[in-house]
Amino acid sequence: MNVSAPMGPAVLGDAHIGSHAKRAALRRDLVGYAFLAPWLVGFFVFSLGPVLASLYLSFTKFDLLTPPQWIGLDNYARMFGSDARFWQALKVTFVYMILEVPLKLCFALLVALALDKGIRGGSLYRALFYVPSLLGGSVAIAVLWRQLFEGNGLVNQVLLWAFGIRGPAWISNPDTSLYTLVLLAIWQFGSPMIIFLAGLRQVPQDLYEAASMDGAGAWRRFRKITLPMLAPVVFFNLVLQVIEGFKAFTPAFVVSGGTGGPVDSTLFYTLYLYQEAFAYFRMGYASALAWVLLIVIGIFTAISFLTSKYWVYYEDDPR
Amino acid sequence: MTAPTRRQFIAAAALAMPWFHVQAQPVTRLRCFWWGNPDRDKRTRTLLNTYGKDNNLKISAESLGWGEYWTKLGTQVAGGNAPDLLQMDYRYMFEYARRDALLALDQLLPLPEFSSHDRDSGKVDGKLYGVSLGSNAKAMVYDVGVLQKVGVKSIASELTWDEFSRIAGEISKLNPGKYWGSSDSSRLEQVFEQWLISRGKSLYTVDGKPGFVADDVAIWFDMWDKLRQAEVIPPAHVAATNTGRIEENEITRGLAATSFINSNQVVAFQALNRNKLAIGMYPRVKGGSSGQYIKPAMMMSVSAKSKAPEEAARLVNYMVTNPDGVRLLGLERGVPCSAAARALLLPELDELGKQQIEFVVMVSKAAVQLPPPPPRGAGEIENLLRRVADSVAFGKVSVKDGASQFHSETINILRRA
Repeated sequence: MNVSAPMGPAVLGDAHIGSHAKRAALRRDLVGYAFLAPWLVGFFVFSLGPVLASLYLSFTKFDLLTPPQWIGLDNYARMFGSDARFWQALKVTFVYMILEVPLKLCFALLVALALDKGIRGGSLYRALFYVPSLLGGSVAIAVLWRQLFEGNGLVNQVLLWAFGIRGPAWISNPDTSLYTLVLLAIWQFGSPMIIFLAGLRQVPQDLYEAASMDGAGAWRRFRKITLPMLAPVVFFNLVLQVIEGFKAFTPAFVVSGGTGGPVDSTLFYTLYLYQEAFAYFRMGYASALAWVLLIVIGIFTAISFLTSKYWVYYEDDPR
Repeated sequence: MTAPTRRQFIAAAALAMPWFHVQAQPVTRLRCFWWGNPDRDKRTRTLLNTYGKDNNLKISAESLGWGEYWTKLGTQVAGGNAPDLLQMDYRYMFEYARRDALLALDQLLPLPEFSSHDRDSGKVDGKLYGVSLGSNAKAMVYDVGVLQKVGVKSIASELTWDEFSRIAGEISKLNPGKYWGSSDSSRLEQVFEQWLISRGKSLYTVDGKPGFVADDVAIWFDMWDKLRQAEVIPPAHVAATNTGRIEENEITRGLAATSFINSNQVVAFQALNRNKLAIGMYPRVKGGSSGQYIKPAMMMSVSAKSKAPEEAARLVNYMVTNPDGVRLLGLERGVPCSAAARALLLPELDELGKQQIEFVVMVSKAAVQLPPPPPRGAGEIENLLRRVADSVAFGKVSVKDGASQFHSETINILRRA
């Protein structure tokens, strides 16, 4: 194995160095790679390998028990041509994202602004608001959510008691089930909130003082100072949340018992992929689905980056 | 930091070697994997512990719910890491056996205690791959007390769907809007199948095609839709989150007086229900057959990759013929095939147990022929029926459109599988 890359050009090109020094350098390299080995092995064996294997599998028919069978672009053709559930899964995922990402970010920003004002016990609230983010992805919370929004769940009991309204069975009604999951996602606003809070602390206070002296009100200060100064953080949070939104799986899986029901109303893309792979053992088709998801996420991230120059302002930007 | 010299490294490695050289004890290890419920898990674990202790075996036990079980088993078999003993279902046995995942047990397990019918039900292409742990039949489970309230002492063996609807309707009037006579079973494949057979059709033909046409589905959806309109069965959202688990069933949730299950499941149902339960045959179409048959409720198979096939086979034999094994498993997995095992259990059975044995005998007298094993893709079609029936129930599609959707998608799935 040729392992000289980290040594740099000085060593690489120098033919005058004696073989002894060369061997010493090689040994030093080897030690370096030995220390890197756990990561390298992990990356090649558990990340890159499977990723490339799934690319190959996406062109095959593969049911785990019999060897994969090359079928060319059939999986992709089927997906875009005749698979209604594929489109349903895309629709569900997009509706979820369009609602969840902006609402969660707005809410996170609002709470961050309130906590930034230095209220008494601020750090306690900060910790409390962060807790849902730690718990949110867990099965227990999804089960709890199911209990809350059932036909005779807590939400409906409160509605009945407080307003005399008989609420629908939120979770098991195809018209409302997805929104309960949106709500669950918004509830986990903790991590973008913490990032916003850190961003707010970075805004120079003298800007606010100068603006106040010039007679700018709270809303104007927010519009003209806070938002522009916070734009890079908003951007960072946006990209993160979009990627996370596409990957959402646990809540839908637990709440619908793995079916994406009722009537495919919570059939997230990842859930559909999971069903194809592990319920119906169509590993080839599931791999193709995974690659389409990767490309869609890539496109959205690229759009965010390309448009960012029109609305994200970096203080050290020479523009 | 100075890098260790090669000599130092070798010395260190030599020192570390004994750690990797731990002598393996000559204890046979077996892994047993099944789909279960709390009651079944307790029985099976006790059996495995007892047997392991008596025979100096290390047996690791694992159980999952039905859906997750097949996911995990499939991945384990594909990864060459299948458990030695695995619980098998009639639905999947053919697929696994024909792909050489299972061990032919003819030599290891002659099973003289079994009738040839019971032995044959575990055979694929003439070889024994599954040992039946018990027989069952489809059964309607009902709340005895509630049915008595409307003057029904027990479910007749020739109850028609019309009579059933009438009884269910009366129950629904007891506590309107809160408690119903029956669960919504338009979405349940096994009820649909029995209804088709009762009408002289079938779910699948021998060559793996649908044994019904779209009009059959329309009649089926329409029957349940009328019951829904008349509030004999609960509204759509009550059944929509039910994925088949016992704790999600309308009977267990205290929402309905009758539901459609398999006869052996009554043990697990009663374990979760305070009210007294009983079982009867599914209703039939007027003038039609019973639509019911006896099948192995579940089987035990041995992996083709097992390193200790003799030990594994002996354990299977213990489960179905040894008095201790038979007692520990009871009737939870169905009525045992061995006559000696049944005779052993009979005096110790409670009322529900006796009823289960009587029920299987009663069904066997009226039984139709065991249908061919479902084709590949049947599991997906089971979920398809839930989905389409739900969209009919929620009024998203009409009965007629739902019926043709179910029929055409069934054909697509079968063609693709």
